[in-house]
Amino acid sequence: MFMQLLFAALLSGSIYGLIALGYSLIYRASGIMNLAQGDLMCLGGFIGYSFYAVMKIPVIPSILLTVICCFAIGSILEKFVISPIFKRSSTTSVIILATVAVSYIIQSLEIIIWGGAPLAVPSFLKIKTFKLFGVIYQTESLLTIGVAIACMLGIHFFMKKTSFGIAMRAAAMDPVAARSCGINVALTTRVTWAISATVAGLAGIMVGPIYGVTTTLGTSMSAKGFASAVVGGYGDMYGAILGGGVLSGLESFSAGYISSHLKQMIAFIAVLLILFSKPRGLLNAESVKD
Amino acid sequence: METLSLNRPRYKKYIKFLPLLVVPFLPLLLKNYTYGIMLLCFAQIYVIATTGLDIVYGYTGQITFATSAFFGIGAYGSVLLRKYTAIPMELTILMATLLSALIAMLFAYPVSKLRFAFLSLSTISFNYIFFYFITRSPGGITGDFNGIFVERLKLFGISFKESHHFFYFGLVCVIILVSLKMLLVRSRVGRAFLAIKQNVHAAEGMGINVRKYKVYAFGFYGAYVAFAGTLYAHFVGFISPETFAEEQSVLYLIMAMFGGLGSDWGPVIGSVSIVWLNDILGYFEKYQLLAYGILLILFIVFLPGGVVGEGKKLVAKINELIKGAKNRKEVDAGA
Repeated sequence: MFMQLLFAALLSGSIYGLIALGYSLIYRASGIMNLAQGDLMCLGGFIGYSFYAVMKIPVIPSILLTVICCFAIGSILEKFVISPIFKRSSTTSVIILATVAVSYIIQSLEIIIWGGAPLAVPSFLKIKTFKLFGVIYQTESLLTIGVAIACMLGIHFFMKKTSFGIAMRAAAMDPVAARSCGINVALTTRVTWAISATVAGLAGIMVGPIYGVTTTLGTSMSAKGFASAVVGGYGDMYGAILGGGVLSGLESFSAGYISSHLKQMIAFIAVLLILFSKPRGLLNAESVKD
Repeated sequence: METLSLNRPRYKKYIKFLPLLVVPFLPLLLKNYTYGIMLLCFAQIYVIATTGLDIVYGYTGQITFATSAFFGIGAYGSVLLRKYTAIPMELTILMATLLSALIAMLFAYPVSKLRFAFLSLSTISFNYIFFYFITRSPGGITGDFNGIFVERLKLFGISFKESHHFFYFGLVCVIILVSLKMLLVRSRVGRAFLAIKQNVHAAEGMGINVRKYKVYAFGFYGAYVAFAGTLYAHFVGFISPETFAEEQSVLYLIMAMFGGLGSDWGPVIGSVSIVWLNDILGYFEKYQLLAYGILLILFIVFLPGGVVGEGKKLVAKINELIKGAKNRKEVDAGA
């Protein structure tokens, strides 16, 4: 039982972690929270469904095409919605409301294009389950966890080792200084949004065969991803991943040992208690410089 | 210039409020359009809730995503008290309002040290916890997902079941509560709220007890929103959890921002317009949410300060132009 719960926690934790990562990156780059993050995840799922289940393109090209689409959507979103608003008004709360509007638009487009009903995505792999020490696991879930970890490591090395990643971090830290060093801050911000959308979309396509693809998942995923990012220490990449693990762990284990009925409630009560005892998140954003 | 404004008769200041005198006669004008009166009643309920939100968000600068939870505390509080005890409705409404204010203040005490994203998350969590509580209540007292039917509003022997009766009761409530808020924000307490919004550290430095005033602001917020919730429950006659879900909290923020934050008339204008807009968009069926999202973005791009904020800017601009023209005339005359 413990192993199964741990495996379930790892699965949802990797999804929450990916969404939370997007929240953190956007917060560092633009100083706001993008409440459409969960809907971008669902949109990735729908696009992946079109490529894989409707057009019958093989798995790996489908995933790559989805990733490219999500990257484009993220950049379009930043270029045509977020940055024009940033230029016109200064209050962050107004821009957060704009991301809510974006989430409405995405949900509505999903319903118009793909219909309101949940869609089942056929499995990516031939082998459905595997057995380890007498416990049966889903292969699909293992794949999702693997992709999530690979994605997190990829972003880590991108941010630390490549010059563009370092420029992105510099622009996030101090845009004025970065600009005077010759960094194109507008471009790094746009790429940050694009990467966040891509990471969310990737999470969406990976969970397709496990949970199915629905529009309604978006809002709750936005909330869970946001909770993970904030609990971990808002704006901290590693905090986001840690937060995802904590939230999913709380959910899985309270579902397993207390009641699956109350798991969400227990998780959110725990989130409140963590906030009250550590008002700046688990990894303090100020003491930990990424 | 100064003498000019001194000589101006005082009543001129109030002339712009004259059109408001039409409001009490609206039900007579809309006699054959009951649906319109009903929408007005809903708008009144939202005006009260948004006014409360404006105290905590517009004046004190504390963003909150828990408005529908407090709306629900009012609604379920009054309904459950009425259902399981024999307390008269006048008292259950009052008790639910006070209960919500108390919960809001207790919640605000630890929350007062949280900022921005952390504050947002704490209020989102609060709303989720409330939602899970009413859908999985102990013993199913809240009717869980099925909701509960509610007794219609009847106070001191007078029934306000019909929209055109409720309208007058709602109007009285709106006038009292909006005036109360106007007095509040102009008082010492209101100035402390504004100081906290503008700069917490400066406010603290001036000797304002930040935590105390944040707790007060949340208390007023809880009371206003819950009172609106009780009216909603007894006006509609049925409540179910979807009305109090986290997603709905954004609606109040949209109303407050559309009207203009931190203003006397912002919540009124915002609530009435958004209720009407939502109703019109209802005819678009499948495209409702799309149209709503696009309109919202257009509004944010072109009216970032809300109707009242942008209106003030416009008036200031016109005054500037008139002043400029006058000065030029004086210069010409002098030459």
